[in-house]
Amino acid sequence: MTGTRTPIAGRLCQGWVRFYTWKLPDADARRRREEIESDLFEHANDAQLAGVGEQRLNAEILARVLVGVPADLSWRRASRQEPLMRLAVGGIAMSMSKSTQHRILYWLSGLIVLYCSIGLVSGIASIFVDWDEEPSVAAKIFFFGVPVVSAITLVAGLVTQSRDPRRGLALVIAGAVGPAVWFWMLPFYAPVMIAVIALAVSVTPRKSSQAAIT
Amino acid sequence: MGRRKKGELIAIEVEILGKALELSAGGGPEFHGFRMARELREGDGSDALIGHGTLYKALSRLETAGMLESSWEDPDAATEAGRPRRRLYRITSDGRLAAVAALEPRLVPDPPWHPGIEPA
Repeated sequence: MTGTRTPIAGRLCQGWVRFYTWKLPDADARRRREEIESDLFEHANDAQLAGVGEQRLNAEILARVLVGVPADLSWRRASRQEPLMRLAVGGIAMSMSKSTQHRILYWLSGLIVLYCSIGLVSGIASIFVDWDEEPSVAAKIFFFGVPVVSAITLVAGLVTQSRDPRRGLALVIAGAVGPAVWFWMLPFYAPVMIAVIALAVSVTPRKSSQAAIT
Repeated sequence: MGRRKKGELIAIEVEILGKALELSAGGGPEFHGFRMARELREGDGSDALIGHGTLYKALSRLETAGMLESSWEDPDAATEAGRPRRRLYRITSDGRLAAVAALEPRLVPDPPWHPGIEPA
């Protein structure tokens, strides 16, 4: 069978696989990537034969990726390598001073807040839209409300971080993850989200150093 | 949720072994990842396919435990068919034993119900 195109969710999936197999032993990483490559092809081919539309195929692939994320991460951990976030944090911590990390964290957080403001504007605009098919209230709250609440949580986290680093970190992570509800924007949003979380983890003092300070 | 014991099979692994056993009995002992995902979907009658991570982690664990074995298909065959090469899995004799042992309780029928006796 030739001519089966990788749908957009398939490319997103490939990106995710490259991400969580990063720095794994070459044989393990290559095998997982090739298996997923084959799976995506077979899935697309199967959908084409069954007359399944591209939108539904994208939704199916995306659902398979999301449902499998915990297993992917635990598989990675089981391979006895450094967890990905620790690698990212370690890389950032080694390459930048704390003040630079703080500055980049604030800039990226500003970008996220700006990005979330689209949710607020779209939410208000949606009141005046003449919908062909009116979305449910739950859908409106989810897609417009969650990013707005996330932006507030993120800012609250940044403000709290100096007084209560652990709570601040938890709020920053929650605020950064929230806008991922716009899953169709994930290929662009995910790198910013990961960078913000990694930076926030890196600038948060460890418990022992806190104890030493106090 | 407690930590699983060493060698203990979880539900998805039992299902995979059961399907692998069925495929083997049907004369097509080899299967690739997506084929198994489709078999599992048909087995439980749902619309959703199993997550990539869940499936390949389970396959990897079963292979490490010696219940499945796998190999890459001939690259020429894949090129000829115009698709990426498949990783083909087969159930081993250990896998058969484990599958039968795990599935046996499900195959035993419920005890007959007698009027006047409340089922436990």
